[in-house]
Amino acid sequence: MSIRSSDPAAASAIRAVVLTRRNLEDQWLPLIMAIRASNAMVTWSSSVLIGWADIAERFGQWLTFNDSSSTVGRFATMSDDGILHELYVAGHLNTRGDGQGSIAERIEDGEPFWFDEFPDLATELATRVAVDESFAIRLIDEIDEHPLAAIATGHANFPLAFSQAALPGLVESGQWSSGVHVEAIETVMSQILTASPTAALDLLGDSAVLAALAGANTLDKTIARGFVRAGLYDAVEADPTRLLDGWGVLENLTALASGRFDDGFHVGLAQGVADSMFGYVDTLAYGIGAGIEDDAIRIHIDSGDSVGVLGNRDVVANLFGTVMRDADARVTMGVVLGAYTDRVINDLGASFVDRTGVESIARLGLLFRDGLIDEQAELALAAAAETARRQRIGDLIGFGSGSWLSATGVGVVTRTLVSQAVSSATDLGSEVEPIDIVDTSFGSVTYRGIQLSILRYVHEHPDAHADLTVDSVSAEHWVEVGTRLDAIDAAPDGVVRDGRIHDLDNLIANRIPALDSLWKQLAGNGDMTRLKDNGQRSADD
Amino acid sequence: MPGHEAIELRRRAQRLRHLASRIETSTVMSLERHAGNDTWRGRRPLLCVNLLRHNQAQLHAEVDGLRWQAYLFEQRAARLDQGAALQPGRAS
Repeated sequence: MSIRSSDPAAASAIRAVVLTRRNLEDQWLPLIMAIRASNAMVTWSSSVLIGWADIAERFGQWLTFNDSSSTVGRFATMSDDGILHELYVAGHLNTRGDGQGSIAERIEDGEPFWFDEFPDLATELATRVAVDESFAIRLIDEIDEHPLAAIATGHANFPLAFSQAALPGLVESGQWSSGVHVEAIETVMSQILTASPTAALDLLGDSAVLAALAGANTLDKTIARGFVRAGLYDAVEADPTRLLDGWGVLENLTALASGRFDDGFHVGLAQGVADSMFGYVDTLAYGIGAGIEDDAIRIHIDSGDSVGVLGNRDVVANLFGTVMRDADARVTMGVVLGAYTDRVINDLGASFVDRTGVESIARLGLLFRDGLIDEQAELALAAAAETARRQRIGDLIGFGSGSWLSATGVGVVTRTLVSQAVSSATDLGSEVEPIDIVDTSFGSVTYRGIQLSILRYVHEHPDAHADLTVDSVSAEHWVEVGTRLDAIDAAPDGVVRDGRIHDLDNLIANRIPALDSLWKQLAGNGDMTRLKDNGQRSADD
Repeated sequence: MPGHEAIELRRRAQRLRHLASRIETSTVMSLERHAGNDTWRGRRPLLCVNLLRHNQAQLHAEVDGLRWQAYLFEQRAARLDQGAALQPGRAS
């Protein structure tokens, strides 16, 4: 059936032809081949079957067959009720609690039924779901009774829409103590996060699904992290117009954090949110600054008018505090802040002197700090931020447009760069020891980080010296500043490092008045002062 | 003498009619004759046949659509010819 046409007026007809061809390939031909391969057929007239084969060849020269393809199991002859009964029995006879492992392990171990029959069952289910909408709807409606159907999606070619539709019913059933249920959820989530980050974002946008995932303690944290990251980050990277949907998810999380999840989200969800902040920190920093009048943090896409309110400052700080209850998420958030600090100052260039960009970092740091509940957490966040800033990984990471001013979301950020950043975050988390930070205040470490980033920028950009009114600084002094900055970055521990910073401060204050004046100009802002004063919020906050 | 656009429209109409005929005479449109109870029985064969009938109905509708579109193209071509004939000096 070689029917083709490139005429646009024939597009609909060609679609119908393709659909017909696909149905013949998927439904007719496997059945014909199965009948031909059946031993029972030797007692039956084969003339019709030979005719079928001819038809098959005429219809599908594009198809090839071999003897091992397409065996139709006993499930093909079952009624819908029969096959659902089979699912129910198989699903309820097996849990992770019986000591025999997961369904995936049983298949891998070659256990009877699971190895030799379950794949056929899965294939039959996939076929019926694809061609019989009422069966698919029935299965989704009863999915909490048939979690095995969701596991089957990992062993046959189900439509993605089925997995997407099945997940809400599975997670909202609340059966987190049932091994087979959890495996079903993990199977479906794994498929969605791989095949369609957009579908993951759609599902995260369902507040009931999000709340269920937030409290899903038995869910595999790697899968949960990947799922959240796929939805919140990858989907928006692929389609920046979904950034607002991503913020909608964060808005729902803000409400959850202020309610029953005040003690922390599921660790995978928390880590996924932290991973994704590389794509949101730009917009967030802008929102904090824009909402300073009435304490509301609004969402401004592309620096345009507000398109929503994330929450007031306290509840947003609580959101990030809830995320940072998890140690890995905390390290990632620290890396986000540290890398963002370095990146913003470099992107601002000489215009950092007007302070607005620098203040946005200070406000972001204060927001993160205010969400933390103990000194140890504050210390770890500070260490990660400082290490990330010092290693200048901001150069590797895009934050939307790379400028806090435009806040364009995450369009230019590539998956690879973010993977590197998250990997760096993990490495940094394992490297940083609390003892490395002498000054245990996150606020003062952030303040110092901004100061050092600016000094580094000014040192590396002689062309900006005139604009910054530091062209009176002698060449010898610039060499001295550069040497000391390198020595600070290379300091073996926090004590030595702090000492070297102190020496640099003294050098600038006593011998390089132009640089001292520049820094005082930047540091005179209220938010910067709060950071310096151990990050304490002032009484009027 | 017809203009270029009218010629192209008629050519497209001809191709659409040819495509409609190809679909109509293809084996798939009579496949159900080989799929009765004498050939096979059961739920799955029934599913195959039902699916085929559904596809055939879609294809029949598309064939009608192709011919209707071809007719519209020819109508437009005729109007273009008439318009050209009424404008002295523009007929080519």
